[in-house]
Amino acid sequence: MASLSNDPTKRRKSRAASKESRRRLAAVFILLPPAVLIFTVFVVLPIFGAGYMSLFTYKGYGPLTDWQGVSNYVWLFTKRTLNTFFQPAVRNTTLLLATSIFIQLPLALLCALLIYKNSRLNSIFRLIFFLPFVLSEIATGLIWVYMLDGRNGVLAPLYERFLGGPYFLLDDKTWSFAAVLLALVWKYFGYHMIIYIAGLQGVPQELLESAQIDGASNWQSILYVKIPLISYALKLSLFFAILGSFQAFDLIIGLYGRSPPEEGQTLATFIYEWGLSRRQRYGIASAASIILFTISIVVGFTYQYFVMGEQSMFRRKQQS
Amino acid sequence: MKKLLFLVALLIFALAQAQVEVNWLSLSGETEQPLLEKEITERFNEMHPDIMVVREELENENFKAKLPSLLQTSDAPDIYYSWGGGLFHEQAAAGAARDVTDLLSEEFLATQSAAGINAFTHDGRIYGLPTNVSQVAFFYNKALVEQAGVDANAIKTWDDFLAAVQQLKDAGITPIAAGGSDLWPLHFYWSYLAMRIAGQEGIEAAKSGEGDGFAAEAFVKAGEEFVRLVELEPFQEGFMSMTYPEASGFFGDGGAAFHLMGNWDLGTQRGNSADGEGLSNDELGMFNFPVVEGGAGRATDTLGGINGFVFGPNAPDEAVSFMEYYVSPEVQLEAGERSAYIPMAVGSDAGLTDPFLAQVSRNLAESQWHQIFLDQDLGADVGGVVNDISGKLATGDIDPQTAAELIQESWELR
Repeated sequence: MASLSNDPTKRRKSRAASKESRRRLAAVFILLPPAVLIFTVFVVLPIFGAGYMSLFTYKGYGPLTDWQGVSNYVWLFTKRTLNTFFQPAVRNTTLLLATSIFIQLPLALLCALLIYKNSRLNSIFRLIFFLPFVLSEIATGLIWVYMLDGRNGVLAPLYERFLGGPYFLLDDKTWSFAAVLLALVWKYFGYHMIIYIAGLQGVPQELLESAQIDGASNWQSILYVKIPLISYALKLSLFFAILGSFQAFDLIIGLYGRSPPEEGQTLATFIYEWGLSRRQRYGIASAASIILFTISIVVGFTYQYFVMGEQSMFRRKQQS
Repeated sequence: MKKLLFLVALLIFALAQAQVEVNWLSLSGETEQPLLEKEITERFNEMHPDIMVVREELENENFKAKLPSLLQTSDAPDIYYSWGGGLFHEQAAAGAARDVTDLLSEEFLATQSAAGINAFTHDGRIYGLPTNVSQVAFFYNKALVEQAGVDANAIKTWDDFLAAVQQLKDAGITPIAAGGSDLWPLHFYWSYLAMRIAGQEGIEAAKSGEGDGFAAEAFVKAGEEFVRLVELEPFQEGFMSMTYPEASGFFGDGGAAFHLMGNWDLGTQRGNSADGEGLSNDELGMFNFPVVEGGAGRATDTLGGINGFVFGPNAPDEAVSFMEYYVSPEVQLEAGERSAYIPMAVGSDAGLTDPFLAQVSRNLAESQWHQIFLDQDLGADVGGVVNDISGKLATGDIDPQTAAELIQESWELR
């Protein structure tokens, strides 16, 4: 240590470094508290509040007094009045997830590959595909209500032609959720497409040319050059798609015009239906929201850690 | 110094002049009631310079969704709309309403209907005041019914009714309009059938948990009778995607022969019809829900609402002064004359000019048991299940046995 501090250059350096770290510390003390405060008040406290409330029977008035332990969680799975909503909610959320991953994202990738090169025509297509994303969720829901209406909707002539009469998809207990899936894919695939297009435009031209010279077919250069090079964009958009599926709410309300019927529930609408909407069973809604929160957290962190890999916020730190 | 004194004097003067503000949260709608409420508010404010009543309104569904959180803030309304029933008792028990019993004089209470006051009494204490009463009954389109050769006045039993429905179907007329998407219009069928079959004692017994409660045989039977109707396919096409206002307009346009609805539908079917006129009183008829043979209920038992206003937890005494004025027989007489609703204050029904409202008023006078809408009376959660199963019975997605069991389960989970 003594020899170190005797070396003038090193001493200067270490003094500069400590000055730098002090400045950083000051920045932390000034900039961090507001963020932590806001995060605590608006995110952390409500989560604990919901966790606490999920242990009571509570109807929205007065203090929490009716302690139930974990009954609300058990009832979600065992009581038929709740289960008829909760079961479809879980099923539909899973269905939404699967549709996002296996239909929406491939569709977005296909469109991106078709129109990522800059040309006037491609710009027009990009605009058309991206347009639905700009709409608000409620407006999208309303648009699809008019599209699907059995008697006067845009699709009514098709029903007439192929089904022989008016058909009300949103009332069809078996297929009603397909309307939600359709509207969601329509609304969000353009967003994912734009992420991919940005990635594809960054693929160096030289690589594609050399692949061509090496005799790669179009298909091969997509599979072995383009897709690996935009893998980060793919992983990122997959992450958004997963979290988006857990949160799907406004568009569904817009489509049904209210809290949806049982067969159209998702986890998010279940929480709304049993808490904020007419039923006012806040304990049950809180239990469901804690379940949704846990799933989101587990999936989110696992994905960050294992799939995002090098780009993950956890790993970057270890490497630097 | 003089300046300061002057300022102090000014301040004291200003304080003395300060008005007490009373916040009134009511419902919006395309009926006479909101207009009446606004006018009365202005009139009262002019008469009382020291009180400032501020009326705000919300649409029905928004109101129900917003009220619970609103009542727990310092911005809680001083007076708010209420349907009575289970929700009112929850509000009163949880301190979300003010006990105003001691502010009400004997003379004032003598001007009010005892049944109405009773609807806003919790544990012997009064938390609100009643304004109006309503009844659910069958309204019918005279022309369509005649066309099918049905004599609506002769419909006394449920079997008569089912036969009439069949007759209408055979004549190619849609028998019944229903706003199935809102569910509650369908729960009137289940409720009335349960009332006719189980009777007052049966429903009271179920509430107090005697025997099988709401899973008892009478309630299963109510579901079965409803299914008998559903099997005739009596409702308009796509009825499960029509809301109440849409179905009401459909009835007003002459789309269906019958509509089981509260008396407020007289105004609603006009407002929502394509031409804005709907069916005139001459084109309409009305009959009470038929009896079920062998059932314990009386033909005169009525289903409907007793509505009024409840005082918020922080309501000033002036809020009570205002409501005393609003529900006074003079003002309520005017409500009847303007066909806003059927007023409850003693003697105020004399002003009813609308023949149907007058008829409902007579029905209610004869009624020994006026059951408040079950989806309100049983509380928001159990009421929600009653609505759910009514919708499912109408689409054939549940059997009557399971339906009754679900209501009982949610009653136990309360």
